[in-house]
Amino acid sequence: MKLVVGHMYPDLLNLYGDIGNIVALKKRCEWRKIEIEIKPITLDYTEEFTDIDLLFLGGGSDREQKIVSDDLKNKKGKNLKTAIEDGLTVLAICGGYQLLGEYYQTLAGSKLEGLGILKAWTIAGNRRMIGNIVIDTNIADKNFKMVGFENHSGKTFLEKMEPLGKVIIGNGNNGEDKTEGCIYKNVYGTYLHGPVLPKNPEFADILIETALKRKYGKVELTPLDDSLEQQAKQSLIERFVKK
Amino acid sequence: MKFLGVNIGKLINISCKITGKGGTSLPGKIALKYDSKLIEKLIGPIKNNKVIITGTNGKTTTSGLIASILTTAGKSVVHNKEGANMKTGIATALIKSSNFLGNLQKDATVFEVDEANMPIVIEDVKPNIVVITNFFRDQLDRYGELDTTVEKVKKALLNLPQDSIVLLNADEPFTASIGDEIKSKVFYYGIEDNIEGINSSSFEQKYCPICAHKYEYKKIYYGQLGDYYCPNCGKKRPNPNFKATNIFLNEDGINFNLYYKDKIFTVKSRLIGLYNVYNLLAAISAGILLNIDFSTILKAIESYWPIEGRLQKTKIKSKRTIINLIKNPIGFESTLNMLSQFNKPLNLLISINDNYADGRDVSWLWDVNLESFLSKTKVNYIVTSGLRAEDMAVRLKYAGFDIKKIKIINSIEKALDTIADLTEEELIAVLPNYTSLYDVSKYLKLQEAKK
Ligand SMILES: [Zn+2]
Repeated sequence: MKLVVGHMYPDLLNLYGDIGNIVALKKRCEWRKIEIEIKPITLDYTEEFTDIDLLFLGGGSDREQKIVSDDLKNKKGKNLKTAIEDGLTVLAICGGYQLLGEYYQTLAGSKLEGLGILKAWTIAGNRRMIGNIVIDTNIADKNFKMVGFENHSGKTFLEKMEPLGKVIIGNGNNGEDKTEGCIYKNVYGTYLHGPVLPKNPEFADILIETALKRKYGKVELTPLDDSLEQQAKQSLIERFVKK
Repeated sequence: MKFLGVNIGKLINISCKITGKGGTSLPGKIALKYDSKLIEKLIGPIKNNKVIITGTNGKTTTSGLIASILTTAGKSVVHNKEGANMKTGIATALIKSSNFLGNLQKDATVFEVDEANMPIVIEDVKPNIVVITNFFRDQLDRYGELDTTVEKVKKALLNLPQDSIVLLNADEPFTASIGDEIKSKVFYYGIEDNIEGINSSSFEQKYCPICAHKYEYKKIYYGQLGDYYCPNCGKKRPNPNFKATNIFLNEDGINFNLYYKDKIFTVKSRLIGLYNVYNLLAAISAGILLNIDFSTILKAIESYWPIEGRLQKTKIKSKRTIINLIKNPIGFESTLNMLSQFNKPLNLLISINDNYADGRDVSWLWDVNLESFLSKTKVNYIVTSGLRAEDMAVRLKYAGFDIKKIKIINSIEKALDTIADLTEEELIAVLPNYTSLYDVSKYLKLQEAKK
């Protein structure tokens, strides 16, 4: 078995330790003797996404976000949309998550168009939502808590879209409706940095399994010893969630 | 009003000493509440030798070196040496150096200033020289993004007195770009050597300020520091006024040649690691610009030994130990690289807190190239400590370190005891982040007192 991970714009979208997500995918495949290839997808990439099993899209600073947004709209958007409708597994974080939505409205009121893959939109806010976040999530028939660190001022609202989870501590999508992230087909958008995958190995494995299933049909991942990851997660939950 | 503010500050300072709470910024904080112009008033009589150092990394060492140069030259210096680099810390340093009449009988000031505090400090201090070391991502959750920080510092420099000098690191493109847009007299320092660079993941891509193309590199020393140029319009790294060449590094120290105008000087220092070449270069250049004669500068540099927690050599339960503060990816990587160059087996203690002063977000641990360090260095045990000991342990697991050789001990005292007990022949390296260092120092003082 082989998993091909497309790392979107590794030189542009690389904030807040999100590279740790790639590290987590790599190690969790290697520990199971699953072959893994990390394919950097840069501005000059023009191919379709047919060779990619799992796509990772992080966040960047405003400048980089603008470059990426133009490139997605003008070059890669159509291919990406086709692949996603066909079931491509995607993890999009923070800025990357916002880009998959319909638009981003700036403080001045102008609208920057997104890819429109998610029925979600983001409105710039005055308050930065920074801090530890704990959510309760129920995906792939598994119920578990996820932890991370969020750092965004954009407020995202969903329309008839399933959120990734319910906020227990922190702000999530908008600090108002207790939703965090968004799920559409095999696309997962979230504000969780931290990075999210090594902190939440269940989630990492759901992504790997989903991506491999699309390629190979039935797939059963060998369980790994995650006691260290769970200990780290538990220590945060105990610290921040009041009982 | 000057008297009242100073006296309140002094009283607080005394009570801080009695209660043992350090007091590196509290007296200033309270005194500034009574008199917001206190810094300006106290520093007023000093006209020359006022130096400000800012940047992400190296400001503590660089300011320590500059203060030592000025002291060796016979000046009496006010220096916020406890690393209290916000406005309140600077006020505290001034209060401590003033008498009860609010008179500061000193003839030089050396302040390291946090990037975010630059505008206000520049206005109050009116420095003769501003030194900028580099810009990296540091505690992003507090300051927003790198471009914003650079922009803020640049803006602050526009308010400098006319005859002030700005001294910039030519090799760091974010820092050097500031020189293009300010009216002050600008000097640059940089390395020109074929020494092997550090393989680091903390690279900040800078785009050409003229045509927005990506900079390319002829040579990278570490992070984004090196000899860069724009392949599109030809803009390149400014030619440094002060150059370091023939660099020689080992466990005992640094040697290099410094070129300035038509002169060559041989510099020797007990500091270690390539990143300290930049700190030395910045400090010596500042010394020259302050018209201090070169033999005095060299004397100060040669005898300089860093302050607590910066490359501090000590013993824990009679085991050889080196302590170095780590607070961001590039600082962590530079430290690891230095340790790796020792070619000796190591035991590590890494302590990570997430208090406000540390930055609440510890995601940056994943930006550190631990994989490269662990692949080329013999490390027997790693103890992780602090509030985020578990996160650090997970990071090490994914960097490929054997989890049976990791011990998670949140209490720093117990962690220090444990690493010493685990150690036979290895060198212990204790790497605490900002507030963890405070706990490490406390432990060492207690141990010292027990003797
Ligand atoms: Zn250019």
